[in-house]
Amino acid sequence: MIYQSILFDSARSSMVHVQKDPPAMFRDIHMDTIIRDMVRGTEEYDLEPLFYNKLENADCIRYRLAIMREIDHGGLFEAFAAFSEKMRKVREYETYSRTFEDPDQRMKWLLDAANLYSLSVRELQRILTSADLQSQGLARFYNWLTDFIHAPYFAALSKEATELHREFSRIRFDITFEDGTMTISPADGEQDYCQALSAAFRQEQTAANPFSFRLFPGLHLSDMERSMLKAIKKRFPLPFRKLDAFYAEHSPFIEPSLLVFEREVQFYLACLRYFHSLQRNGLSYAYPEISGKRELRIQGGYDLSLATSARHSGATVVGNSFDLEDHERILVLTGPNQGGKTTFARSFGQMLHLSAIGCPVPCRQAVLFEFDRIFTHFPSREQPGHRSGKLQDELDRLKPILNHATDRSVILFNELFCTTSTHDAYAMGSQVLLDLLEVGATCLYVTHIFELAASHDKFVSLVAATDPEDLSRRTFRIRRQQADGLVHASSLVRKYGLTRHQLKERIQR
Amino acid sequence: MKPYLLYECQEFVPRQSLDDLPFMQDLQVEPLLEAMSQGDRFVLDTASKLVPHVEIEASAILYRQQMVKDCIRYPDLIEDMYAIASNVDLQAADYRMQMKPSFSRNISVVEKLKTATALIAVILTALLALRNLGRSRLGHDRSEGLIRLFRRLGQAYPDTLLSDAGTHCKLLQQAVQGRRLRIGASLGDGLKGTNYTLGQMREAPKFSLIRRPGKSGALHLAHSLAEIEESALANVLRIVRRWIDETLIFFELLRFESSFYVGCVRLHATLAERGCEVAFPIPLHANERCLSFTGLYDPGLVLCNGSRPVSNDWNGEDTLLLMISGTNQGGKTTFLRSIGLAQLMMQCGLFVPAASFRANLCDCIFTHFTREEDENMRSGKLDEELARLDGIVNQLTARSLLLMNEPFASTTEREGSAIAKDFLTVCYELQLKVCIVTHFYELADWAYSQQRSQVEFLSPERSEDGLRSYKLYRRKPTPTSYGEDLYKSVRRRK
Repeated sequence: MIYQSILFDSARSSMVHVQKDPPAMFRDIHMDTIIRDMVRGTEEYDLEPLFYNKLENADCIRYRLAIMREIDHGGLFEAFAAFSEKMRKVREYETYSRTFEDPDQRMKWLLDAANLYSLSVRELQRILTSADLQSQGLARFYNWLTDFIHAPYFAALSKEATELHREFSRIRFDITFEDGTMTISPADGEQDYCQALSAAFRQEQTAANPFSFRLFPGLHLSDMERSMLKAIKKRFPLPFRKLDAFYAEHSPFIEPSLLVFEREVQFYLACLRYFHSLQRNGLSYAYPEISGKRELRIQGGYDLSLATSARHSGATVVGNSFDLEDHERILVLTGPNQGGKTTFARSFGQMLHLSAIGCPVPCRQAVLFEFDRIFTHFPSREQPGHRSGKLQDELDRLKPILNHATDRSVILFNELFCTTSTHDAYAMGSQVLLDLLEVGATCLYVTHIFELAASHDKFVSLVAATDPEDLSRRTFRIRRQQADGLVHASSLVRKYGLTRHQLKERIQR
Repeated sequence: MKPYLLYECQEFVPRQSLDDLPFMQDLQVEPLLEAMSQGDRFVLDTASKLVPHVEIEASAILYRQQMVKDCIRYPDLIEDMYAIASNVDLQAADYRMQMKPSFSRNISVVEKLKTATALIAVILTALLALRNLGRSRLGHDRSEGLIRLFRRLGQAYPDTLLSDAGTHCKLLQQAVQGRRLRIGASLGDGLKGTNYTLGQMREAPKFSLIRRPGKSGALHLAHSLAEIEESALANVLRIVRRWIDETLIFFELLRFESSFYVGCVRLHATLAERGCEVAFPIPLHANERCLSFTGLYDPGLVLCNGSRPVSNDWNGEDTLLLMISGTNQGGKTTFLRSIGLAQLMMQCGLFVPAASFRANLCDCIFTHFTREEDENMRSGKLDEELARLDGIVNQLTARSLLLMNEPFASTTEREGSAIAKDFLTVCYELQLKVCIVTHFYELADWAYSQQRSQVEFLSPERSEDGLRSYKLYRRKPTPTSYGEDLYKSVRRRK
């Protein structure tokens, strides 16, 4: 039986060329920093490119989402995390078995690696057996794994490694230091002094082995340890002889497909670790439903980069609900500065991209659609030069979007033509929107020119505003309403709060 | 193990920045604290944390009252406990210094073990002394606090523990001199030794037998022996330190908690010496509103200059608003202060300077006094005063006690009365207990004309010849000519 990918549904799509660089729109919607947060600590697996490309079709997305959901809700996260942690150690030990200088140590490292490997693989299979797997990807992996551990090679390796490892761990000895000499003798089974001392003081111990200590730092043997080992080897020759034979037969022993699995499962673990940590801060995530129509239903969506910075500052992030019907394509979002317009555009892009790579999305509930590509056009971060140069730059970046957008594309515009006069910005902006309306692309147009929202009856007008009652929270609401350009008045400051009414409010009952 | 002398099963947690509390200055708490400490800085420190810390549970207050009664009855007991605890605390200085992480890197584990075992000997002596005190007190004490402390001491530090600890202490003192180590181990990953544990210490290592598997096992050691000794004994030090640290916490707490009662006993002795009466107050539930006393006086005056204080009686079972108006220098401020001090002393478990005292508990005490330095610069100060009041309102609750002394004197009578009327109306509606001293007749007259229940008016006694007794009585506010009496007394001397 051949191992099949748990990332890609079919062998064909796993051949898809993986890009080395992130898509251009990543920076605008802060997807670059979000993914860096996700993969932090998993550098050795080089996961980042897995987050770049959207999957080919809805079936591929559902394949991944089913696996992700099963790992998440089926209680498999811990099991997979523990497995990959142990596999990391197996690989480390296996490396030592090739690189260490001392031949006895080299052989023992291989035995230790094989023992841990056999234990971990069996443990994983045991957990998956009781998990009653539903997702196609994991069920397929489980069948492969079951076949693998029952194959003669693994069975033999496992039996030999376990037995020999046990023999070594049974060796116990005493070291006595006195008058400048060190004496090694078989252990006489005497009680640990610290246990007696601790008991005399009526102290309770919670750890299993509270009083063991480390003597010789590092993993290599010091001269003193080498002398000790020599004495032990002489006293217990049999296990050492078996070790020779084991090394000769089982180097190397790791199944390459298991390494592929180990890397692939990291994609899921990284995603879930990221969303779980948001969840601990009170933010939900959802497994999106991919609709066949071009509709969108989001409950409590929020911007991931805002959530990350809010976590550091302790601010509250409140989600935003938003629906879009099949026929609605052009959305014009206006509102005051700091009203959350850009944030909304970012979170819109993040949700679409994350769903397209089979990840959960930052909201309570989501129905999303399939698309072919996300384009973004945000103010460029370069130092502004001449006005004309700046406009030229904007037009240069606009051109490929107009050329390549299809009726399946999503385009996010943030303050397009902000460098030019309001009149020009209005004229050019409405032209761009009319062109894209014709193409049929889904287009979110963030602008401070509220007249644009009313310039065509097919445009959906959205207004963003902070909650005037509670300016301390970075709450924002996106509402479908006529844009009128009014900015909410700020509340008055009442000097000492000592009026009759205020006092009644302030004094605690 | 905790002493629990202040609460039945809780430790005292000091509030931050008690220095900022305005009532410390307004009520003149300082002389009281001085009298408690009688020069002992530790007692002073304790008293300045505990006295301003308002207890809101009647049970906690009664618990302390019981303790105070026992301590007054047998002053030597609490002084002895305080002395034992203080001695341990002082003797632990070396140990604490050596165990500081920043300091300890240069000191070997063996050295630290020597210091630690020396301290164990001190602690064991102190524990023994405390246990003996407890044995001698059997059947004498009535307070829960003391009875349970001695009982729990016996449980936490039974004789077997004290003797076992003593044996190990001697053994360790010998072992760190003897330098013989036995270590057990097994083989771990990559053939590195693992599970190293320390073998038994022998009382007389010279007589123990060493089994030698053969000459090949015996090897000459390099100077790494010292390092091995450090690692092997680190766990011993850890265990010993854990016990010492726990026990030191107990002694620290005991020193702190007993010092409060030492202060109570000393204050009591001083007041008794000067012929002043004290009483254990009756705390009522915070939902009730009550203020009744007989023979209440301000202890500050006695403690500072030894003069006989003026005492006042008052019966205000239901009082919400107590308005004191009338003659200047008639003892109004002293009266207000003595109410505040008695409330404060009651709420920390102390006796009060009165023949009897009954009051409901309040969750906070606030004072809003006209500061003397303010009085001359009236204009422009209202802003500052309102800001101060704003700060109080931030923390004010309906169950607080608010003492106001000449509020809004920083502005005109008309304006000040208007602000005060609004303020007092809200307080009344919220059932917030307020005692206010004012010379605004407009305010007092308005309050009187409202004819509300639970509002009481007091004025200083004034005989026809203008002589003052500094006593206050229930009466209708009357317009007073500002300082007329003072002027009269000046004229009389001519």
